[in-house]
Parts: sequence; structure tokens; C-alpha cells
Amino acid sequence: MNDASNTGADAGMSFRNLIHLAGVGKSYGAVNVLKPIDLVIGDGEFLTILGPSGSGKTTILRMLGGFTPPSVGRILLDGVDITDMPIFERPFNTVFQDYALFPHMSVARNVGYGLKMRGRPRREIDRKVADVLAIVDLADKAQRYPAELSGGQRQRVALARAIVCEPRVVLLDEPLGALDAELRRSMQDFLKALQRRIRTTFVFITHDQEEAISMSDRIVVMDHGKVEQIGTPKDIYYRPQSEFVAKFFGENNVLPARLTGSGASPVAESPLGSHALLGPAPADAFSIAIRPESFSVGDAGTGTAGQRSMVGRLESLTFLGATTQLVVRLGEGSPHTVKVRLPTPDLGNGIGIGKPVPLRWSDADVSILVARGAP
Amino acid sequence: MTDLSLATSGAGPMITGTPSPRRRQARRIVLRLAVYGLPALLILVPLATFLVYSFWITVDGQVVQTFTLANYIDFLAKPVYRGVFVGTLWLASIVAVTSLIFGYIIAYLVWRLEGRLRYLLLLLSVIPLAMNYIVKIYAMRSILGYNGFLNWLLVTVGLLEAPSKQFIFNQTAVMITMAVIYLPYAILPIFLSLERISPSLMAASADLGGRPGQTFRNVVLPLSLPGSIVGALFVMVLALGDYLTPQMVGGNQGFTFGRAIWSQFGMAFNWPFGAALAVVLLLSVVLIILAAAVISRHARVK
Repeated sequence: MNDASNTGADAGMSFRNLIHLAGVGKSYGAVNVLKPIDLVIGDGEFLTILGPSGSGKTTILRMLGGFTPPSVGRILLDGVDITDMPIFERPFNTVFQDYALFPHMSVARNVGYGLKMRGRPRREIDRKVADVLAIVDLADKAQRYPAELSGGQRQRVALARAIVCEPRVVLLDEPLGALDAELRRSMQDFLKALQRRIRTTFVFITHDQEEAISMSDRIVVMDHGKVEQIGTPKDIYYRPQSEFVAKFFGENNVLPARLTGSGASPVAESPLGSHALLGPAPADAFSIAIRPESFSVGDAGTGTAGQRSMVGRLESLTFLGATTQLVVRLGEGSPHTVKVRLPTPDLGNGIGIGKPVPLRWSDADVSILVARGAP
Repeated sequence: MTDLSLATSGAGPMITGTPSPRRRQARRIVLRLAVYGLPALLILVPLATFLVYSFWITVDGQVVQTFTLANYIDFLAKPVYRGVFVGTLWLASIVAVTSLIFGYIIAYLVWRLEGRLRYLLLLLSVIPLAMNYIVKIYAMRSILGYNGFLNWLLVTVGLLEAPSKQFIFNQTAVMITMAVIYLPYAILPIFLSLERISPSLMAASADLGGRPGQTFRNVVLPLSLPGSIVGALFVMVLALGDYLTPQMVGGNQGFTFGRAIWSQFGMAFNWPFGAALAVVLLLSVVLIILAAAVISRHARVK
């Protein structure tokens, strides 16, 4: 992970550094749930920590929030070490997975709880609670109890409660997990709009790739207690650095590659031909990835630099609606096939199963993957 | 496999062999009678007997079976019985409050523990439930008595010059003994009501800036109090009806309503009046249980 991908600068966004997780790791006895990570979170950034269950993503959140102390490393806020600061003093607020609304308090008292704990005057509490309830569109539910609200409304109460104290960071622990698909979609839009509006750093935990891609400024992809990649959604999607990341986001083509060429000008040899490697090769044998939609079909035009072509044989064709998926064997007798996704209207008449298909793609769309398990 | 085929192949002849609908109906009624009737017989009939007795009267030691409210009027008119009744309610309330306070402290400390120690301590605190009630009273007697542990301790420490007779055979002794004996009945429901509080609620409170004391006052206490009060009311019910403890550690001063009832049956041989007192006690117990039900339902709605 280089510095550029850490701060989001490569996406044209610039955030002032707010939080620095410096070599933070967690183990319970001999079980290492999070290998030490280095992560800088920008001020005002929407950062998503994405991974399957057991990947260590919640552990990061719990350490940030102060619920669990890290085993190693320090957590810095504005350069100040807050590793040992107790939960109730941290200027962070959390939206819990189960919302954790106080069942014996009305919506207004739930939302005002943080202000009350900080000893704010009654009038200020009332005003701020009313303001924030208006933001989450629950002004008319102020006197209701959590049990009388729907799942989506409870979700918004939890959100209101977390932002009313104007925390430096809002931590969201899979907050959309319990909602149905439609509500989930509208809450995603709502959350993103809210984050832009209040310009507060959001650290969002999810296992849903689409959610991560559509909402985040940057994504931290985790697996088995280890950071697989940190980058913008486009980075993660089109420039995966590991096989895990390449396969985690939808359909992808992962092909084996071998290192040929000399040390000064390494070349990757794969079923898609040979590609000059820009950086050092990860290993003698590794993988490359290319998205199904990065292919196009048609006769090779003028040989633009970096444009490639190859004639394969069509094995199957699946109509998916707006797009159609083709499985193309890379040459006669080749053990390798690729999935190709084309907009349905682009399908020419010449395409038929068993017939040759001229594939075209760009060198820039081919990602070199670090072998799984390598640092 | 064989069972399955037997069942399916047996379905055909079974239908023809089934008893007529009417006989089946009759069998169901008999079964229902057994299911509902047996508890009714064992619980309701004795109660009903009491109720009926309470409306009769004794004349010269003989029960006269005429309907009269004389026993109830007697109870209301005689300051002695009214006084004993109010005194017993008061005693049971103090026992309940004491059990609530100490039970809450113990249950809270056990609840805050983690791992195996927690359940070990919980087990230890409720193990007296498995002990014989009489044995527990004797144990308390040996602690509170003139030559008991408490006096020995106070004399040894130097707080008393000589053993005191103030700890036994009075109302306070009854109160202390009941509170100790019934404490486990309070600890268990209080622990359960604490256990029902989701850990994420306490995490949320801390996350929102609540210090441990604030979290206790604003989250833990309000959420566990209804269940705890129900536990205390349960103790109150037990204390109300107890006549052995007052008799064994209360001496002359420890005259409670339970003993009054007992004396009507066992000494005065005035069963109708004893039954009327018992009905009064039963009604108070039912009222307390209803209060407990209202409290727990109210707590659940929120």
C-alpha cells in the first residue's frame, strides 16, 4: 500500500489527515484477528471497510470506537495519541448494527442522550434534537418509543443520535444489514447525501460490495484479518491487486501468468499474450485479471498503442437484459476461457456459438495480481 | 422406512376402523376433563372449601353451616386482628425492600463478573434455595441467639460488653431472618432482568459519552428495576404467609398474620374465622401478584 492510495489523492480528492491507525493489530491469545495495519483516514472522507465475516473489519471499528483496545499499535487523532482514551471521552459516535436504541426512552430522549451526558443545557438539547430529527425526517415521531417504529425509522433514529453531538467521526457497523433491499437502496442514498451535507468523516463497515462501491470515497478491502487493498471504488474495481479483490467484486476473469523477460524489462506471459510489466513482477508465477466488460468484439482496427486483439471461439451466450454474457475460448484447444460482457445492442449478426469471435481489449485494463497470501 | 410404509398402508383400514365421530367426541371430553379437572380438583376445591368455611360460624366449638359475613365483620371490627394484619403487611414490605436492595447489589456484582466465576457465584447465591427451610431458620437462630455468632463476634470485637438479647425473639429478628432466607428469591429475578439488558445498550451509552455511573443511572437501573420490583413483590408474598419464621425467632413479639391464622385452626379450633383470615391473606397476595403483573407488562410495552 503506497501513500497515494492511502490518502485518496489519486482520486482527485484531498482530505486533511484526521486519524492515523499506526500498526494497529488485534489478537486474542494466539488467535490473530487483525494483522497490524497502517491506515490514514481523511477528514470528511466516506471510508468503507469491506470484507466477508471474520475478516477483521468490525475489529477495526471497535478499536476506533474504544470498545476494544488494540493489542499493538497506536491510534492517533489529529496527531494526538487516543489509544488509551476511554469510550465516553472519544469524539466519535457509533451507529450500531442492532441500532441499540434505549427501549425505555422516547425518540427525542434517545437522540438527546449524548448531549445530556455531556451536560448541555436543556434548551440546547431540545433545539439540536429537533434540528437533527428534521434532517432524518422524523420530526413527527419525537415522542414515540423505539418499539413503535419501523426498522427504517429506527435506523434513522440511530443515525440522528450518532450525529447530534457533531462527532469527528461517525462509525457505522453494518447499519443497513437488517433492512430489506428497497429500503437499503434508499438508505444508501440518504446516508451518502447526509454525509456530504454534514461533512463529517464516516467509517462504514459492510460486507456488501455494491454498497461499498456506490457510497465510498475509498474502500479498505479486508480478508482473514489482513488488508487486501485500499483504494477508490474504481481502483478496487478495475485495478485489483490481489486475486481475492479481483474475485470479490462481481464477475471477473482471472488468468494464470508467468514471468518471462529479463529483470530490467519484465514481461508477463498469459493466455492473453505477453504484456510488459511496468513495475517489478510479484513472483515467477502469478495471475492477471480483466473485467468482462473491458472486452469488445469486432475486427481489429488500426493498431493503436496498447490495443490488443485475439480471435477466440464462442462457447456460450447468455442474454442478461441490457447486457449479454459471452464465454469465449482463447484459441483452439486452449484450456482457458474468458467471460465477455457486451451491451446487447452491440452484438453483431456474425456472432454464433462455435463461431470465431474477434476480441479486443486494452493493455491498461489488465491488472497484475499479487499472489494470494503474499505481503 | 418400515415405520413409514406401515403408517401409509395402515391408513386405509384405519379409517374404516375408527370409532364413530360421537365416540371420538366423548373420548376427547373425558381427556379434557382429566387435563383441566385434575388441577381444578387439587387446587380449586380446597380453595373453594376454605371460601365456604369462611362464611360459616362456630357456636360452642361446633361449626354451624349458615351463611354469614360475621367472620369478616369480626376481622374488620377487632383492632387486634387488623393491627396484626397491617403489622404483617408492614413487616413483609420491609423484608421485600431489604431483599430488593441487597438482592440488587449482589445480583449486580455477579452480573458484572465475567466468565466462569460469574455463574459459580450465581449458583452459590441461590444454593440456599435447595436447603430445607427449617434448617435455615435454625441456622439463623444460632447466629442471632444469646450465645450466637453475632453476639460472640460483637463481644470479641469489643462493641458489646456482654451478649445482648436484642437480636432474637422480637420483630427485628423475624425481619432479619426472613430477609436472609428469602434473599435468593430476589437475587434470581433481579439477575435475570439485568441479564436481559443488551450489552450494546451499555456500549451505546458509553459511546454517547455516558460515564459508568451515568450509564448505570440512565440505562441499567431503569431497565432492570421493573423486573427487580417483581422479584421483591414475590418475596413479599412469601413473607406475608410465613408463620414458621415468626414462631421460631419472633418469640412473643413476632406475632404475624400467618400465626394468627394458624392459631385459629390449631388452638382456637375456630375454623370458619381462620378460613376468613386465610381468604383475606389470599386476596392480599392476589393483589400483590396483580401489581407485579401490571409492572412487568408496563415495562415490556416500552
